[in-house]
Amino acid sequence: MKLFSFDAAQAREEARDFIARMSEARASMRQASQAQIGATPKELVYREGKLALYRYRAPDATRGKSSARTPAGARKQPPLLIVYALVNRPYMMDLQEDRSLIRGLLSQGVDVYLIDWGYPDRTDRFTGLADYILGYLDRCIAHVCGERRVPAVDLLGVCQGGTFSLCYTALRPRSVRRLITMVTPVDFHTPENLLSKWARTLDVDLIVESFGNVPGEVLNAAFLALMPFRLMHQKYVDLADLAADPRALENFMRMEKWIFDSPDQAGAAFREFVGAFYQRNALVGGTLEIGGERVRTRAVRQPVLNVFGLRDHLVPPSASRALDGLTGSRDYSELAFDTGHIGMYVSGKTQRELPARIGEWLRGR
Amino acid sequence: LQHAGDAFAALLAPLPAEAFAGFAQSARARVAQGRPFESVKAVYDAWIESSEAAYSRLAHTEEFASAQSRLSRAALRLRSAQVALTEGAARQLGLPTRADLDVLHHQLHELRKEIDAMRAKAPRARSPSRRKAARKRTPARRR
Repeated sequence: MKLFSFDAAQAREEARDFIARMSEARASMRQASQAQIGATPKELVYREGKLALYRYRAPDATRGKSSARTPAGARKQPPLLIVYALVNRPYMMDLQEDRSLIRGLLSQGVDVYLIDWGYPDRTDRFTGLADYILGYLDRCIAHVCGERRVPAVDLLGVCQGGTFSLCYTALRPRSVRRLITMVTPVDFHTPENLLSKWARTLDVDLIVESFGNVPGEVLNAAFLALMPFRLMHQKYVDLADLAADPRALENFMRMEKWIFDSPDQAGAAFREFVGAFYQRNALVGGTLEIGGERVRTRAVRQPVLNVFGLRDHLVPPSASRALDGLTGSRDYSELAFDTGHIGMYVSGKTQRELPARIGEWLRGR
Repeated sequence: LQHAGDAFAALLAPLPAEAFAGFAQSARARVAQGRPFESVKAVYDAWIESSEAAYSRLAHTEEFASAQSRLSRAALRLRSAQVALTEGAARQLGLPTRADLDVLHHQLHELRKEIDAMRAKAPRARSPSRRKAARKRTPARRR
């Protein structure tokens, strides 16, 4: 039996074809890089420093109206606030028309708000987790509650934003009606968590002392180093397959822009997050304190929906699944998708199913 | 830094051989299953897969984490030393340094916290954006 079913002439032809397709892709790249990001109209409803709080509008409500309108069927439900991670930018939630969790949620009648944390600069060097969770997040929730005249909101936390949302719900349970965590790390010490293994040996004080705020490029380098052959090599070789498809090239460029659009991390918050969560695993250990207040996950009695990807290499499913049994909720559900960390937001199949499943979960409670 | 870099490189050195061993194993499995490589790209993909698998095994070890940590500590210490030298030169010239700015930023942060605490104690105080919205609404009501 032969190892190769092609000969030298076919290999030469394949190489020529590859070079031609890469040249074509390169020529189309400039145009593709202009692809618009963001698909859903939104209104700035609150600003505090670099933080911006947006309310999204259902696309069919945009005709002839410039002000926000409550999506059909949303009035009965509390507003849902999306809390994104400090790492990377939240526009991944509304990347493009056919890849938009926000658009999908609006079509389910959910009234969607989103926090954009902005880009920290040197003046944010001493901004810590308490400032983010008990300060900014709390004030955003108060604003949404005031605007919609409701006592509590639904929280949807994504990745690190999910960890923040969980902590917030434990600390201020009256302000949260239901909690949805998405690709959220809870137990940071599960064996599959490579990022955590590396983070545990870091001298986080030295990093912050040296950099002040931790540059986004440094974090990005660490994320790419988790799977260097796929993320720094194969992905770009596969670009040849997209050369003849302008739409696929645009999708690729949007993703590249998002991946490398990494805000710097406020020094104090980075030190506290790595120390408490990655190094001491204090959330599951029950020893976590934020702003001097003990985070008791048992205080979370709201309905909880935990969404995660079975092939997530950044937040392994085991890290998310640890939420089961950790809270005091009697209504805990899981939604597992056969996708990775980023696939959760952009995979066509997930994007078709996820908003409907979340909408269904919300309507059932 | 040189020493830590050398140690990290030494740890990575066996990686190509391990990746090749994995590749050879998957090639043998293909032959046994009657599934030869049908293109150069298929060979490349198999190579990437075996390289990633070999790297992942190494990256999950404690040796890798500590070698990486030693390297990053060495690089950070060098950076901190460079910053200290630059700050020393700046002080000589009477220029503000990063440490000076850090003091100001810390004070700014404490002031922000005090303002936030005062706002929290005044529950009727509206946020700036809500005040703005209220101002916009007022003339319409008067009409």
